[in-house]
Amino acid sequence: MGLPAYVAKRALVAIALVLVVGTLNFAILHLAPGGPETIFLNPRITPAARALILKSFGLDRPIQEQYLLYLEGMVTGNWGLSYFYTESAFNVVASRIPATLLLMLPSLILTVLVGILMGILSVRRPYSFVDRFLSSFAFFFYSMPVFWLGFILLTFFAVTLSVLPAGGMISITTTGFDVVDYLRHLILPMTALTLINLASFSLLVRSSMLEVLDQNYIVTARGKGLSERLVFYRHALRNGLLPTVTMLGLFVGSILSGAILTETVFSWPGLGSLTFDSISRRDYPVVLALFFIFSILTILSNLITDVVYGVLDPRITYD
Amino acid sequence: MQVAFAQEKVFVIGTTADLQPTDINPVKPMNFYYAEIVFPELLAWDKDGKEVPGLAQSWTISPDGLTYTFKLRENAKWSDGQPVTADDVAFTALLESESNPAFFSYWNSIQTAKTGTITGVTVAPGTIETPDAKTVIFHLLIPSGSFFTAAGGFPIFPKHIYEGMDLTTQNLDVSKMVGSGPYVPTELVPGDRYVLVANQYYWGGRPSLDKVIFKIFRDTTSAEIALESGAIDLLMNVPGTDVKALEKVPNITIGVEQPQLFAYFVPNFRPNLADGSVNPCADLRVRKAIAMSMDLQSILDSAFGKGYYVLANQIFVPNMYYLGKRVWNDSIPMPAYPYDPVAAGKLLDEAGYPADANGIRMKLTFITPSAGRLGTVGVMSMMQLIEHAVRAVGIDMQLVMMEYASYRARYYMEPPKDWNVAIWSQSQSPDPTNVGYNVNGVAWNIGKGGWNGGGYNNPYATYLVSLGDNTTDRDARVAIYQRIAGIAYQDVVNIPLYYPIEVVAWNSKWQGIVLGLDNPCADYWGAIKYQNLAQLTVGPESTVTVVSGTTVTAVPGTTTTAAVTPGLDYTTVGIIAVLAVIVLGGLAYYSGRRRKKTS
Repeated sequence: MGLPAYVAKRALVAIALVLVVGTLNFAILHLAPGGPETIFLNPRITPAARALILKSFGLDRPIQEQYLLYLEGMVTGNWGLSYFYTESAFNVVASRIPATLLLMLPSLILTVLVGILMGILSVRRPYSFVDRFLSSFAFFFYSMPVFWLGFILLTFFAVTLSVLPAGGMISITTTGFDVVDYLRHLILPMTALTLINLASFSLLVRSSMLEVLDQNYIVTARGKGLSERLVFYRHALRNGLLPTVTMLGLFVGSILSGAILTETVFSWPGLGSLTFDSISRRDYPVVLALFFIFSILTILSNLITDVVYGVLDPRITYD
Repeated sequence: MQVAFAQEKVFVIGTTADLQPTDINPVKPMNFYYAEIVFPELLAWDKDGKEVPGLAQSWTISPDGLTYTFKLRENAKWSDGQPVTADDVAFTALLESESNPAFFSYWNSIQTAKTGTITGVTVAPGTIETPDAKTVIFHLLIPSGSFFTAAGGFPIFPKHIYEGMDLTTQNLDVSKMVGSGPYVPTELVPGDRYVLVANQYYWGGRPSLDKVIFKIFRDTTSAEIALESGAIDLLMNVPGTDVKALEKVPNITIGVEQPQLFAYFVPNFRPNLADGSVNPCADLRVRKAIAMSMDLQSILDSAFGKGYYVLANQIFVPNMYYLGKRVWNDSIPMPAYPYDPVAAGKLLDEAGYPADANGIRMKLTFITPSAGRLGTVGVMSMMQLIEHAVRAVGIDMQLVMMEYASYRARYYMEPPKDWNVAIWSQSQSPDPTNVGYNVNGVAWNIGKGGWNGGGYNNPYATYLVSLGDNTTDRDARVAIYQRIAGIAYQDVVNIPLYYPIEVVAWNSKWQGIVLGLDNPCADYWGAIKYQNLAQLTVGPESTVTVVSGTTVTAVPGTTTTAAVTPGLDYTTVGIIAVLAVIVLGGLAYYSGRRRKKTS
């Protein structure tokens, strides 16, 4: 099967998957006890007023009608008005995407670069002090809770040393977007996220490279008299990095779901905190919009990963 | 580090309470604390809960309680220079009546039915009179003791801005907002910040600050770090459990105030639970026994710390007044139910719950939320201590914790319920009417959204609640509510736990901070009031803070009375220790390998 046919087939499967996931999301959300009206209840509430609140949310309609409206929203991007923002759910979600991207993308890039570098350094001298140190370093931070690491970083750098800001995306009193200010604010959350996620990439590269370096073609290359440097970087590295593509695909899929804990600790106004708040408040339109976007992204990133894998490795065929 | 503005005086307030556009949208469930900074109410309340002038400089109530006259301040203007007039007050009442499902009932006494409005009602003709630009007269259709607080405590919106707008489906752009308060908004980034600038037309005089910024934090610890680093100037809602750590930080002042909050257990009054089993809490003796099994003072001291709560004994907060008269019922003992586990055991025996071989008499399900006002570390500690306390008298407490929305749904669920005791809290307004709904057993209120989640149904109490609503004579009304408090005490309608103390921390350089009570119609507590925000100044460093009741006065130029004991910086020690282990471990390993090689 050629690439276009493969992509078309996966796209059809993706559509079905999105429908199934979307239906499950809708069902689970509405089955959860409590609704948005419980947040608004007060001692003066009468059944009539409660009914009015439900009507203003569109929750007086039959559940089937609500489901159909939700399906329509998947196609049109219109999930209705947020109960708490009085704005379209799409706008509420879209307004938070830049903040999440500004945190997650640089963190992801740094994680991948540093992780791969650490993996390469480890595998250049396997089982050496450097290898063991780097592996221990990666595991040490992998096992650390991100919120604890975040608080330590904040306390040390923002309070004790007073060299970096104490959270937020930009300075509280800054108006507009200042790149330097944003970069200063990015340092600590990016450091926390990178340290926590390093192990995944570095250890994956290490084990993958060790496997590749045992292959016959590497032995042949060495036998032909090629320098170790050439063998490692030209012949082994490309194959050794292939599993990283898969890992990258999985990471990209989760990128917009945001790092809820990181956003919480560093007061970063991204999608993670929006997700948590919206679920707590049962802001159905926003939650459903978020779930839809996350599922689309996950499915798309897996598709792209599979395609890219095939491009990078000619041995892979599409069927 | 805070970006310094040499020319601007900026005050940054940190809070963990979220803020979104609906909080300042007049037809949505507003957050009155944020709304009143921009749109002050006719009345204000001092720290003792007594009414003082707000937007209205004076008011009269007719002897029959049917006519309320408010005279607006002559110098009251909107931030665009337009005068605040009686038409704005009338417009607000009409807008809320017709368009706000959350607050239209506040204006019940002047409403009539009308189809075509969102709420199905409107302001009845002739009930609002505006004889001149600064006088608004409300003619009530029925007497209502709570109308004074409801109307007087409602933010007033500008007619010339909001008239004709469809606020149900859109928010007014904050940069276009016009208010009469000391500050008007310029920016609202949900989940991040709310920025306000000084309103040069504020009737209280030019505000002392150029800008006020509310910075929203997701987590209290992050907010405290921001306060310590100087990124914010004041932090609201500080957990009592964090006070000791903050007290050690130089240049941080801690202030406390007692808002009108009340936390209590709500017993389920129905004879059976959802699974058909007998509900022991339907028996008065069991409810009393639960109350008497807890040494509340010791429990609360451990959970919250001395000075960070007030022991509760009745349904009204100690600082509730009606037209200046305290509602508190002095005849209810303190504590309400004496700690006496032996007597508690006897009551349970009498009620038909003897102890089994393991000393257990019954299993009771207690439900509690994992977030919100009652989802704090202090409350969790309290619940665990109470679990031990009631176990000593043979009650096996099954503590069920759930997330907030689920908890509220469970509390309000249609009867029969599946829990025996719930923990609840309420933000009371200076008017006692809301509290009465806790004991109001009218059919529509039980388990259908009202606060009477336990289902207490006493026709006499119900009658008194209605009577209190419709009585305007001050002494008579207060007597009615004191009677209601007495009934609630006798019947153990709820088990009073504590009146929370709100802790606020701020940078000591700020002078003149006075913590005030929350708005009567709001569900918000412990905040620096808008009148105070307009008067803050920065003093010399190292000011003394003298804590006296709920007022904190910064006295410049003298040495601090609060001992700041320099202690070990455990964070730095911890980091150094970890690094030392890594380095030493690495060296030991390396030298071990070398030894192996040479051997």
